Amino acid sequence: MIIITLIFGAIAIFTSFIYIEKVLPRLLCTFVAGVILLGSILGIVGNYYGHLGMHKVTTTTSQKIYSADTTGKTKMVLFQPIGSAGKENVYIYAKSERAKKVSHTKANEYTHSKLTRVRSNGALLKTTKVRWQYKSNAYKFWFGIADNNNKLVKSTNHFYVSKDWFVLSTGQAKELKKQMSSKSFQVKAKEQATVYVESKMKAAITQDPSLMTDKSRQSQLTQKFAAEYQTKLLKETVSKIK
Amino acid sequence: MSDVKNNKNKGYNLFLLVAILLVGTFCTVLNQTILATALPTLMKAFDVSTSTVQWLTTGFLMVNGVMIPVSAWLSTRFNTKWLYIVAMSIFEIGTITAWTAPTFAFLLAGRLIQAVGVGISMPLLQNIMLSVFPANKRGVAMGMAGVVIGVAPAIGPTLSGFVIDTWHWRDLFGMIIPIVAIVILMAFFFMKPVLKTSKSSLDWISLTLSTVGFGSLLYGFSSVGDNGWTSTLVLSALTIGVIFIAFFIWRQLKIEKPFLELRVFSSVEFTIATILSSVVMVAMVGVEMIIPMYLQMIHGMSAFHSGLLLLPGALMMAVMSPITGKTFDRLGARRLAILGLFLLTIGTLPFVLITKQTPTLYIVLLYALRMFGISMVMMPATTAGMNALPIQLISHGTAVNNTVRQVASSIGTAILVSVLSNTTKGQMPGKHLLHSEPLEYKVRAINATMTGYHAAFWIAVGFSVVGFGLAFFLKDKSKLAKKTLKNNKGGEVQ
Repeated sequence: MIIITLIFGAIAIFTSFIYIEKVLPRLLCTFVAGVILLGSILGIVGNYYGHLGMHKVTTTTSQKIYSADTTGKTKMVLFQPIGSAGKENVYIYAKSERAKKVSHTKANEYTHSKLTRVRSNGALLKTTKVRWQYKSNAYKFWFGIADNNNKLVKSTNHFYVSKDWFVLSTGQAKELKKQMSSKSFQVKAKEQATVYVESKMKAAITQDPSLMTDKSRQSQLTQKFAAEYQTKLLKETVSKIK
Repeated sequence: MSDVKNNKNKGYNLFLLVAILLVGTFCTVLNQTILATALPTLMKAFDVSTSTVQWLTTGFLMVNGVMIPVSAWLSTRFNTKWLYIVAMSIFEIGTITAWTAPTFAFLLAGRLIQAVGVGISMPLLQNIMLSVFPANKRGVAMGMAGVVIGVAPAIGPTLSGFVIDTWHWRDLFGMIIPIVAIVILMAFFFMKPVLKTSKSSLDWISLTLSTVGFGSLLYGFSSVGDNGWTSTLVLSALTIGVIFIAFFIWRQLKIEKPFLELRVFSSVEFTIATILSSVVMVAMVGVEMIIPMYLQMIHGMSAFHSGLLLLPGALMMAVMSPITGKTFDRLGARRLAILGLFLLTIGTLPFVLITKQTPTLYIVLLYALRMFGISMVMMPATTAGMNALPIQLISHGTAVNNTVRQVASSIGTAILVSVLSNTTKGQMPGKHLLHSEPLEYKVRAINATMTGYHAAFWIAVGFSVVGFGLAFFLKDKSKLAKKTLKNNKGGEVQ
């Protein structure tokens, strides 16, 4: 609608100032046309400069996220720093449990992402989007044609990740993968794992001698200790990489 | 007129002659605006800054302006046929240079050579059209010429955007080469020496003084973007420019047959009209250059899309010119100019507040509103200036008006772009930020660029306001008529 009044005002001011012969009606009509034209321009400027007729609308969505390690072996969220200052990161995660491809947060000037460690289990992504929207249909009627409804102002991604998850930079993840796949590391890990499990088992037996004869419980414990060792090893390796 | 009859008896083909002229001129005039939407692409292709790339437009305009008085002399001195062929050949050479340019320097050289050709051939069109058509058919003839001169620059930005998006920027020049080649070839057979010539000499000293003077001035204003206002380079270039121009003016007033008859400025009406048409030209050319940059760099639009958005404004000029022409005959220039400059001012003001998210629809509308205003000033002011001169000075008046307008638009645009790049540069974040916080860098860089645009638009507003104030000094047609009447009466009494 604002377009129509602008065009009407422009044509009207031309016609009245140029074609009306008598001075008084000319000035009067020109004045009225001028007010319409200036009003339209003010409206337009107000709309794009001061967001006239619009207000900020915030929407928040939450979703459960899954490990960026698509093999499912380790629970991790990866991040890639944007710039050397490390103030902004792109986070990499998976949107579903069996996702073949990982997702990542956007790297643009509207998006901010942060991560908080929490006690609870699992990981959560809370996305807050702030957009400009028209306050009412009347304003939409006047300015909606400019196609500026729902323009994004700010988008915040907040990750809540429990403490048993790894949060690694993409560089660390790469290094970790490299180290863990090396032959010497695997041999060493196997040796140490046996030693760890054995010593743990001994300790467990001294505490509870009945274990000596219970084969099924023994194998259960062996598995548990092995997993424990895996986590410990991973943590150690990661801390060394850091 | 007897010349024309003689020529007709010799049996030359008027239709083909005019067709060659119009096609040739269309190609040359197209080149005035063809780079408007291409500049961001060229900046990337040659890795040059805004303040460097603007030379392609401002240098072109400047050479155009300096060539106008030369062209007037050439057309009275040399055989029209050969003059036209030579002018088009120069243009062709320039176009080929630009087409094949390996570096920015070559491209600029090509543009300047083109401009020499355009500077000669464009005034020639008007002269030839006036001489080959009998007086009663001149209206139609000038109408046709007007369409060519008016439409070509209007479609320039859109056409060039389309070519760049579809093919390559080189094709902007490449597509013109065969057409001009055909025009040159046809001119050998169908162009005739239609203008009377006589032996006269060109004042080479004046040509040198004006070229060096205006060139140095342009160089000074163009260097502001990279060097700042107070650098020695800028100040010395400006000083040299002013000194040469002062000498040039002094010489014009002293010698008997001046290069440019500056005495036309003794008519106040002519002076105001010339300033007005120059101001409006700056407001048009400068903004026509900045808006495509804004649309492409901030909104991330394609060249074609940005050119398309300028089209309604350009067509506005074409639609309005017959209307303002009629109105001018009835009312004179004063009222048109006042309204036009008022509209130009209120249409430019919103641009000083544009944001990086300003909807493009608003840009299109406000740009069209500006053009609506410009169309009410450009031709009427020029014609009013001519009408204020005695008949024997009119041809000189045309030359002066055209020259001043081209030179002013060249320098005005350079100032606009200089303010733009200088302000942008002052606000630009340090390069280290690009490494440490690239997103923050992007935000600040865009903000810096926006501040630059705002500053440039403030200058454009300044030009419009000055024009608006001056428009009130134009004389009303009714008063002019009364004055002539009085003078005539006075004559009778004597």
